[in-house]
Parts: sequence; C-alpha cells; structure tokens
Amino acid sequence: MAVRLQDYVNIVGESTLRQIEQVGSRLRGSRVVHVNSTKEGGGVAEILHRMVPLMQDLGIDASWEIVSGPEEFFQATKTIHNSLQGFPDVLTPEFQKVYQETSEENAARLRENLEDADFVIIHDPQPAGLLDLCPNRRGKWIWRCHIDVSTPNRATWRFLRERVKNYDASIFSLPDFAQPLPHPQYLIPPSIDPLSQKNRDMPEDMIRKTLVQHGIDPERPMALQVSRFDKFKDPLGVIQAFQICSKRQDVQLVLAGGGASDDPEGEMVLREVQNAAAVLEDVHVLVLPSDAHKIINCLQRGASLVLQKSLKEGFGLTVTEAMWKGRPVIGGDVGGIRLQVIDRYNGFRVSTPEGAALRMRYLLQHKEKAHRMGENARAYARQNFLITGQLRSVLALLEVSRHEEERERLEVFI
Amino acid sequence: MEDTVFSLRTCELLAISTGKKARTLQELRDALGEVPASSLHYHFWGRLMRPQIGESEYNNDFAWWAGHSLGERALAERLSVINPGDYPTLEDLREDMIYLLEDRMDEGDFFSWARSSYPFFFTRAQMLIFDTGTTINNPRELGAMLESAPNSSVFYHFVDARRRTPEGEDDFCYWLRQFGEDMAPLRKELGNLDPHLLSLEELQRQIVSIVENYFAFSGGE
Repeated sequence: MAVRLQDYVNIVGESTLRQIEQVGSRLRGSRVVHVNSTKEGGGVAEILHRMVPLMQDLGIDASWEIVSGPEEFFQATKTIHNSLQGFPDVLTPEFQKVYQETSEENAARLRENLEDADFVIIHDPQPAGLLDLCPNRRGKWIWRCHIDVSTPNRATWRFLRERVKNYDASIFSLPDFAQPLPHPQYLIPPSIDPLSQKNRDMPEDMIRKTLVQHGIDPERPMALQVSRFDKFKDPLGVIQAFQICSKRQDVQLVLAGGGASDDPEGEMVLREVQNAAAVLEDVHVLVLPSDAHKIINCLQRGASLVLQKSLKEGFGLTVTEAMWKGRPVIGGDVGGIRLQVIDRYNGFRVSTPEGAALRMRYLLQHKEKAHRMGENARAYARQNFLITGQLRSVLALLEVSRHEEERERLEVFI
Repeated sequence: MEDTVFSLRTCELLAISTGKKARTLQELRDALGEVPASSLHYHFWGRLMRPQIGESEYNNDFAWWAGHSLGERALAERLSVINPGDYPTLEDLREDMIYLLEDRMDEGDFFSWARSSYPFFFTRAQMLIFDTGTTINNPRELGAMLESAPNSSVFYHFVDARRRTPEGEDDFCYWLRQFGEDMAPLRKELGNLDPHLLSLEELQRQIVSIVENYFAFSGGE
C-alpha cells in the first residue's frame, strides 16, 4: 500500500505535516519529474522511492525517470563522480564523448516529458546534460548534487559546470560543497524514511534470527559498516581498525553492502575486502542484494556500534539510519558526516583507522555512555534528517523558484 | 490600527549558499564587506533555528569560527559579545564588525597568514511562513497559546518580527498596543527580554512565564 503523509504524524507531529500540506497545496496539480540514473541501490534511489509517492499524496503530478546507457557511460560517470570527490581520475575525451552521446539518446527518449514539466529535478552528474538538450523546456530545472564536490578535480568540474550552469537553481547537502554558479544554491541535507522496511521497528527475535543466519553471534558485541564496496567508504581502513581494536576487545566486524547498477568499480573493491577479511577471524563480509532492506535493518539494530569511516562522503544515509536506530556512530571526519555526527554527543568523528579503533574500544567498554549517545543520535535524526523535513524543504524551494523576483520572506498559506 | 486577532505563524529557513568562503581573517573581513545583509542575519540569528547541543560557547557563527577554527579566542570573545539587537540596521552591524576585524589585524601579535582548520561559509536564508490555524483575540490567551507553540513560532514572532514591524518591536508587543495602557507594563517587560543569549526553548519559556505572571499577579486588563 502506498505510503501517505498522515502515516508520519506520530513520528514528526501535526505541526510539520501542516507545513508540508500548506506548501504542497500551492503546488497541487504541478508536474514534477525527477531524473536519476538508477532505481535500485544507493541513497538517491531510496530517497526517490519515498519522495515521489509523498508528492503524489499531496496532489502533485510527480514522476521518476532514469537515464540509461552502455557500460562505458557509467564508467564515464563513475570517473566524473570520483574526480569530483577529489580523486585523480581523468575524464578522457572518449569518456566525454560517450557522456554526450548517451545524454543525447536519453534526451530523445525523455524530451517531450521533460520539456512539458513544471519542475524537473535532476539528481547528480549522470543526467545533468539533459537540460541543454531540452531547448523548449517551459518549467524550472533544479540540479540536485548529492556528492561531495568540496575539492573537485577542476577539469571535471569545468566539464560539469558547463552542463549545470543554466539550471534555475541547485541543491547541495552542505555549504562546503557549493561551487560558484550563476543561480541560487540551496542547502538541504538528505534524509531517511523512518517507515521504510530499512528503518521501521523490528521484533527482537527477527533481529537475532537474521544475525544467526549470517553467521554472527548475537551474544557478542558487533561493529557494523553498511555501505557500497567503494574506496571512498574505506572498508579496508575499517578492517584495519578492527584488527587494532580486537587485540584487546571481544568484537565481531560486519561489512555489509552491495553494488549499484551505476557503479562498475564495486567488484574490484569487494575482491580486495574479501581477500583482507579471509585471513581474519570474526570479520563477516556480506554481499547483499539492493532490496535486502530488512536484513540491513536487523544488522543495524543488532550492532553495538556503527561505523561509516568514509574518506569522502556527500551525506551518509547509513549514518542517519544507524542514528535513527539509536546506535552511536563512528564516522569519518569528512563531508556531510560532520553535520550528522556531533563529536561525543551522538558518536565520534575520526580521521584514521587508529582513531576508529580507539573509539570502538571506548564505546564497547563504556556501555552506558554508548547507550546515551545512541539515544542522542535517535533524537538528532528525528529532529533533522527525516524525509518529512526534506520534503518540506524541496517543496518550499519549488514554490520559491516559481517567483521571478527573489523574496526574503514568503507566506505559503495565502 | 492592528488586527484584534493574533494569528500564530511558524516558519522555516531555507538556507542558500552565498558562494563566499573565508579561510583567513583577511578573507573573512573582505567577504563580510560583500555578502548580502541577510547573511549577517543568518549567522547571528539563524543559528537559533539550527540544532543546538548543550550550552553554546559563542553566540554567533563568526565568533564560533574565530574561536574553534582560527584559534583566535580573544577575537572570538569580542565577536561573541556583539548583540545584533543593539544595531538599528544590519549595515550598522556590518560596519562595526569590519572595524573589529581590522582592529585585530592591526595588532602586533596578529599573523596574517594564519589559516583556519575549517573555512567559514557565508550563508543566507529565505524564510517560509506557515499558518498554524491557531488564533487568539484576548491577551489573556497569549501564554497558553505560546506554551504549546512550535519553537519556530517564537523565532518568527519574537526575533524576525523586529526586522519587519515599524518600530522594531516583536509581534506580541505590537499586537498588545491596541489594548491600551493596561498592557504597557507587559509590553515593557517583553520588550526588555533579550533573545541574544537565549535558545528558542529558553526564550519561549521566559515569554510564557512573563505573560502568565503578569495576568496572575497584576490582574491586567
């Protein structure tokens, strides 16, 4: 059954829902099209799986399209992704060519739909080239950047900037990521859905059963990192932290993740992780399908602590998921994690495997403090990072962007 | 004259990057001279709308950055004591801040090359205003209404109002004017409440307390 906005009332309260309904009523009947590159795997797809039905529940004609392309296209976009996050990958002329050709093929398929929409929200670099290929567009186009572009490879940014500069607005997760662009750059953190399979409450017996099924001892402490097998998530650094921690501490490590259909590099990283884990006791590498939401939910609820030791991170949705489940988080001191993990309040931010090991040991030894940090984490997630808040901000942005002249204050109820 | 009915609003801030950032004090000073005045408002007052954990060491984003990212604790204290409510306009506030930064840069022990551990990102915001559906038309109902109001209502009616009412009053005082001299002591007490050092929760509690005490002990009306 499709989720309804009213289903969230016991979580976020009447006041928030009333605000969403007020701004939603201004947009009733508008055609909003979201475009990204995958419907399965990754945080963007998860957000859209809930954002689109909630917009529809408000009477907005919302839909979701994806761009498709050959493997070379996704290699090119992965290169763009990596180099925007500061890695020295080079966007070769061949990659630029396949990006442009694939954008044109997708534009031919989607043009009519996109040109007719009142609002088009383009997610990340993969579909960014569509705007220039829809010359008769009548609506407002928003570019939503989910990745950390605080220190991008300049050549790659110039390539992308040419494709996003003509948008009406862009959205970044943090001020650190905003880049000079000739349009307003809104700052909206991404969110999780507390009612999704991945985040809703789970019975204790199911949590135990899931742990046992995956070879994890539910009676022993467990540290968990859930994320794609991606070098930016530093799974090898997590294993290194586990090695240091487990010298003096009884602990199991679970690295759980899967690939996404737009991530061709994942296989290689996974092999490296499996090789490193093969020689260690108590390290479990779980390769899960993209729809293993209940398993992820049980793993997070069964964990003593959760790691997200990223080296680069736009915004760690798995961090918010763990926080929502009342787990303290040890996160890399990068990107959006700085906004999510408040050092010593709901977890720790670290810069090295050694730092992660130290904090793991601390949390495992100080169970009361770990519990209190977990409670703080849940409250913080509720206040700041749930889908209802993001929906309200995105709707507000759409409403604001309809007005040609920017106003400092906008009454949305009239 | 004012409307007899008071309609309770809430608000949300939609943050927008100005595209300006600073890594050194010189860069902060230069950008401060260029950013829209609304960015100053965001960094002094907008912080009240953001999550606050425990007691805040400094009272605005500039002071926090100077203290924590630049390691300039003395400057942070000087910035933190600035009460934006003391300035008739944000331009006056901007001017004073620039003087203060320049004074620090002129001091003998200042290292012009000192870089912060984390940049200062100048941000501004657009405000979205929502209706709560709650109205009152009697000042005696004000306390009860505010007790159950969202924090953001306090921000809208007590903090933001000072920029949009004719004499820089909060919305409550402005509304109470129409009820004559009986309300003058209450208006005076509310007017004396300084939001500079308070969180929205504290501010809300204090406003409710002032209003309820007034009607309980002064029998005003």
